[in-house]
Amino acid sequence: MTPRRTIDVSRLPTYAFGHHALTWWATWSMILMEGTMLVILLISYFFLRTAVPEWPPAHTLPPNLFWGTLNTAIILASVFPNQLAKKAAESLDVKGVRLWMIVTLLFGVAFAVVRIFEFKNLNCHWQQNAYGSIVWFNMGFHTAHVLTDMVDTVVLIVLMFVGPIEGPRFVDVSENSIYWNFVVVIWLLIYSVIYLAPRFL
Amino acid sequence: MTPETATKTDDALHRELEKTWGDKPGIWGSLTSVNHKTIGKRFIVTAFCFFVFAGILAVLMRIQLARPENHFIGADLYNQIFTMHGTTMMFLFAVPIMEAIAVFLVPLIVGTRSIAFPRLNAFGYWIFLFGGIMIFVAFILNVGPDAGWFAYVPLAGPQYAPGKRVDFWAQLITFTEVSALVVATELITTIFKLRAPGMSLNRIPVYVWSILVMAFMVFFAMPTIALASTSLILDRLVSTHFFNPAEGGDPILWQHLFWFFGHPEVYIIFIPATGFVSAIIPTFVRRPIFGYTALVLSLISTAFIGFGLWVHHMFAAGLPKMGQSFFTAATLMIVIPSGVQIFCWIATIWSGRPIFKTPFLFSLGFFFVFIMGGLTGVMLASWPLDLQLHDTYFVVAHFHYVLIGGAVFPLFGALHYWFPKFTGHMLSESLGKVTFWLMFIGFNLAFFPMHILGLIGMPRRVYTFQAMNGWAGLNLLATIGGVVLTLGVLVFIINFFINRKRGELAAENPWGASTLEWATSSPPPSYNFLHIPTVAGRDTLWVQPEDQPVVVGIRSDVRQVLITKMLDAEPEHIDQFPEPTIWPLLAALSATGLFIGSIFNPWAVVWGSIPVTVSLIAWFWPKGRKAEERPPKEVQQNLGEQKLNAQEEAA
Amino acid sequence: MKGNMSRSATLSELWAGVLIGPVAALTQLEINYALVLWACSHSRSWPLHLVSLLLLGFTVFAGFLAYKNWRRLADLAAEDSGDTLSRSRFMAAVGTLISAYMALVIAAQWVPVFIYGPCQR
Repeated sequence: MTPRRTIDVSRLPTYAFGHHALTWWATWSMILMEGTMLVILLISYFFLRTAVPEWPPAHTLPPNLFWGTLNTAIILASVFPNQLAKKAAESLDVKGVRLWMIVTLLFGVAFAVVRIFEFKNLNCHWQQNAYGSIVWFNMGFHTAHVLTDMVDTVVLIVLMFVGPIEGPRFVDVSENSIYWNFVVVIWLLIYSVIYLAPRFL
Repeated sequence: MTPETATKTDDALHRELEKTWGDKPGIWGSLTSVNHKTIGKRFIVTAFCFFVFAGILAVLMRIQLARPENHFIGADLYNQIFTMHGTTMMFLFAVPIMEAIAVFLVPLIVGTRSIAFPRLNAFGYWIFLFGGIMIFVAFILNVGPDAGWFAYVPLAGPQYAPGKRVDFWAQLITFTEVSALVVATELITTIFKLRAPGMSLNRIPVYVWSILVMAFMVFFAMPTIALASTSLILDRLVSTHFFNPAEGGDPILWQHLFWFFGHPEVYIIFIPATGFVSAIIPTFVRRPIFGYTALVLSLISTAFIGFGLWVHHMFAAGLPKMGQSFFTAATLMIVIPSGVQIFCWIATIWSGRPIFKTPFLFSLGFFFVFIMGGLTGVMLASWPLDLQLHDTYFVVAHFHYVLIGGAVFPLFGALHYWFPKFTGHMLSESLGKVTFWLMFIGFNLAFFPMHILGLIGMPRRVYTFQAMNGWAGLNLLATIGGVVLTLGVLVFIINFFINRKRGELAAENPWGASTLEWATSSPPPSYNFLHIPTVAGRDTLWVQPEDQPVVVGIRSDVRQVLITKMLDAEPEHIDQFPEPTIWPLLAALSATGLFIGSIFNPWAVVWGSIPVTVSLIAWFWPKGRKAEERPPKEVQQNLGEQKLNAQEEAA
Repeated sequence: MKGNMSRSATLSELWAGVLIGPVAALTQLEINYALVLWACSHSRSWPLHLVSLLLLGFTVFAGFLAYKNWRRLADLAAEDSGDTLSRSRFMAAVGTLISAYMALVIAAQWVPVFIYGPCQR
């Protein structure tokens, strides 16, 4: 049998961070899909707005600025521990990952609590009119993303205590951080559209 | 690269790889499989079954329309039938079968052992199946949707469509778009990160390019319809007002949302079909495809511009003329890349030596039918003409020419072409030719008269018509054509059943083709290739030397795959893929419960999310890897530095 | 690397060549479609002309850069080898041709602004 020429890959790493990792591709696929959905949702908001003379409709206040802005501050602050968790993951620092993911999660919990107050102070209801419907849809869309990412974070935290702790799990933590940043970015967009646009545009 | 004889014999390696990558036996094996070929085949068969169901519905419609004032089917049932026909064809057949064939083929063509995210792949199939079952059960129970496959509001809204019919339709969208999105994720990741070394971007076969482009289109189109169908369910279930003009909503918003998805949807179907043609023609004219760069360019251009056409479905909605004209312009312009593709294919055939076997015949049939459909498309692109033809049978003729010509003909070519690879047997060539001619003649007989019917005023979706309209003769002709077309499909089905186990045995490469799926047995073993191959050119099997290198150093006792760089496919790292597992099925079942429950009660979303969450956590929970861990170099360096620093501090 | 002549084009240049044109064509379409409402209520169409002109300019520029890379790389690399230079040549070729086509699309989508008034229905 003719000896075959070969390429020997046996010394290659068995996991990788960033865009080398398949998990990164899955995360960015999610970001693209969900991001598209959000962009279309926001365009629909403005589409509906141009169809009526008054927005918000008569006798409707825009959502209460305090709670929304408070939550914006909380979620922006959460970016710091989130980034620290990412860096810890990329250095395979278990203790750092545990600490900073828990801190990020606490910010998430605070965010979720304030979100309840936001919902109570939206000054509209989805059954009233199209304005109410789309405000609630936006808020619901974002809340769903916050909750699912929090569950994901909890699972990773537990895993980081209970094990098996392996290289690819650190990659998962790093990717989860990216997704959390995405949740922050979409909030900034939704906040601008729901809270700021009806007041300033 | 050092010359090296295999350290294991090929037989021993085969046995070990089979043990590592094979499905578990029996029913449990079927339910837990994460093998892209197992899943791909069942996906293809299921989608084809939906094609047959939808075809039967069409035959029923044609029987009803065979003569004026027929009483074969009443008005209400007719509404359900044409809605189910369109919905099934578009959501349960056309996109899924394109994705399904890609799921089977793409990992083989790019030279790897598995599709990316194998468990997600299993989930994608199950969720598609369950959605399809749901809508057909609803149909059988007389709760099938009846507002057309694009469910315009206010007809589909809470006021004019009471009951659950349209809710089932809207939720079917959820099932099928989740399935399409997850499969698209896997395909993009596979194509970008799992290619065999040497398959740089400019050596990726045109078929694979078409799948890559299709998958990206899915990413941007499907979320839109998800948003639309969710808004519709919310309007119907919990009294939101997205589409209710009385409370500030807008029915035109539905049309925009639907068609922003709906137009790319047809390109999502068409583009992989052109990929089939680009794979089949070179094989059957025995020369490489002409104009590789132009073909790739056309795919990318069509995909992008395909997102800029949607308002041409709304030319009768009273929008500003200037705005409509932008879309007329774009719709006319998209003809150019299609034209470029056709030119390249014809140039390939012209300078090759054709072999007129069934797959090639279907490609020729595709040219004829699709070009005609494209021409009527150019006519409809002009909004003044469209205003006259909107909602007439002219439109029905147009889209069946482009969809059947542009997608179904290439699909049948593809099924005949890759059948040996799927099953290890050859289909009968004579039955294949009979299939082709019956389908070609039947199709034209059925749908050409509809152009004329549309021009003389027959509207769409009417369950009957009067004798004095003068439409009877052409309708009868169309029905006869429909029967002939159906016979063609039937011959194919017979061909399939006779030959799938008892047909002539297929060699590795029965057609003498040039791409990697033909470099392994028919059907492939569970692990695809004994050694991961490397690639010598675009038509690698035609140009590679005797001793084309293979990849060694990946373990065969665990499910390791080679990850390569996105642009130039150089080896980068090794990943370990999951074993068979039941969790994708359980997750799909829980998601099904959530989706169906939410048709009846909004709280189903809350309660239903609990089993979904549990099954997803169980799915994800790692079991620990057997293989040795080797961190990436930068991490090794960092850790090394840290240790060094620690030592210095201690000192 | 032997020197500037044989350098591969940077990745940003190659991707920009491929993506700018299509994104510009879609952006022009979306923005102008939305602007028709504004143009009608303010009775002026110049913003639509401006958007079209700017995006056409970007596209032509992107195509020109891609073309320069293509010409340079065509001398250095084969079309279908598996190496970086060859792959870069391919991307530059795609970038040039797609920019040319998209420029045509933008021009076609600009034509209606000259013909119709924004309030015509």
